[in-house]
Amino acid sequence: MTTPSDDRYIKGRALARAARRGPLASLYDDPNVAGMAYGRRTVRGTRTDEPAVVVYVLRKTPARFLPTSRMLPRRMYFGGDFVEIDVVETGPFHALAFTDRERPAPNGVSVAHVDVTAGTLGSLVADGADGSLNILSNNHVLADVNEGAPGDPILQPGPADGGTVTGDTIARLNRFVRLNATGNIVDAAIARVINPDDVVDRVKNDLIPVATPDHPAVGLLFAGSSTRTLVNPIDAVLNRLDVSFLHDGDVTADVDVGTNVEKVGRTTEYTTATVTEIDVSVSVDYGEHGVLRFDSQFATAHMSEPGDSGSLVYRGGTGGEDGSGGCPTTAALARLLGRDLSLDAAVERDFRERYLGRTRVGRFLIEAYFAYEDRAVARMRAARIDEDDRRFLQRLYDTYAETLRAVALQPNRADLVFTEEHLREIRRIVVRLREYFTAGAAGVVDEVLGIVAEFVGRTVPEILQALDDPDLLRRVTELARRAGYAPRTDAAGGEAGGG
Amino acid sequence: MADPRSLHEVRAVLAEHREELMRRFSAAGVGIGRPDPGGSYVITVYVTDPAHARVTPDPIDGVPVRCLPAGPFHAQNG
Repeated sequence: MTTPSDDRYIKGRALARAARRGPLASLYDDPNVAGMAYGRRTVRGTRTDEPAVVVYVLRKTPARFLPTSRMLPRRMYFGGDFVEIDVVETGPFHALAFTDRERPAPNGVSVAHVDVTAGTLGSLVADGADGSLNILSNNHVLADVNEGAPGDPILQPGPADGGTVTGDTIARLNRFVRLNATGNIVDAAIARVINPDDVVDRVKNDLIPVATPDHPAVGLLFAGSSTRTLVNPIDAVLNRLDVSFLHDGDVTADVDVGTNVEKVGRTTEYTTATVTEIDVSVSVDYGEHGVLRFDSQFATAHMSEPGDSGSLVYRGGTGGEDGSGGCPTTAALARLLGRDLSLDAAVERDFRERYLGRTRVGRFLIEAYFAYEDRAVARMRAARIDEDDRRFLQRLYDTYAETLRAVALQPNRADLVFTEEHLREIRRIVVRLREYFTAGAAGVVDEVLGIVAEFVGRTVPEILQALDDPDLLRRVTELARRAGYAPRTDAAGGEAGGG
Repeated sequence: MADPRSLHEVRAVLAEHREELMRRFSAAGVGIGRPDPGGSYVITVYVTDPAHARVTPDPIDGVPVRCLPAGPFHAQNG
């Protein structure tokens, strides 16, 4: 094995550096290349002692699918010397999680009152009463929905992210705008920073600038549903709390329907969306504290998840209204897979309306799905998908998307047959992803697979014909009922909505 | 079809009918939207019942009303 003092290691490292600066430098422009490093070649999962330039790629593509211009040699020669080249699939690299402890702590990271789970450090502000340096976030993040008292410890990261009073107290609750049952404009609080060196007036990873006249703050994010994010207007927040941002000038702005906004938050990090409604009056569920009414809010397309509360929202970004023609399922899947699914969504919609929806079982399944779409999307968005599982799903998509599109576009083709191998693949998927199923779905999945197994050897038209069988509809209806997914409407009638 | 209303006019109509709309649709919220970026402002009702999402209510004082499945809303601590 080579060590850093071996001649071979030293020479290999020099050759690797020369290769990266010379013939391989253009790889940095390849969107599939995440980076390069010096290491050792790995063969069938085992690291050898051959020095190598390791090329990190988002996705490894079989050689037969690569144009020759993108093929890499196995080794690169420099005169009589050479260095190995090894391509490793790493997926994208991410900065440290926004849930870590950070000193100084920037805007956008995890923070919370000692009795709260976690929210987002929205911004630094100056207290109008005494000029002291404070953290701005929501009442329900810093003051535990009115339960907190001035002086209570504020932790970075929040308790849900491992923050403790002894090691992570960064500020103390200063004051909050009281939340009440009858009507609210803001969900806001400030906490006085204990040591000014523990915070920095920048946004995490400098993803976006702080509030400036060119990049004004427009609101404080506090709530959301599966399709909308709710935001307090920023001027109301600053006025009610009697605080100001640390920068001079007019650094706040109003929004209108259509304004693009962006934020950085503890859970979904950087997101951008378009303002969909203004002058919003809305009821928001605060768990054990009840449902509270808010007025004069604005709403954006979905751009947040639990833990993003307290994020400062700015004018900017490219916006977007779900990025999927308004279909929350497609938007959630696209975010999960990191793929543009707009083509798939269009193809699926056509297949659903022209073929699947014309069968008894198909109509029932479509109705059942859309009756529970909100829940399904919320589960998908809230699921902490393991990175290995995400890559597994991406590989599935990349392997089967083209075939499924062909099926959906030309379902009458007789050469597309559901095979034993397809069934085995579905079983592998179920085993791999079973932990993400609801208890109800997990309880019936084996019987569903039993029905799917009956389709082996059949063409798509034959399967569609089978899906119109009243007996099969009865079996599927019973399974859906046991799984807790029976639609409220009559399966035989009505139009399926959504997308 | 009624003439497009200004934002000011739509605000006034919404202010007058806000509570009635919330009650009628058991709504999670109401607001002012603009489905067509170049078009008219409309009153948007956030409904939680899928059956309500399929309803196209009559305009109120000439202002179109649309129902969107957009609730329930939750405070977003993690």
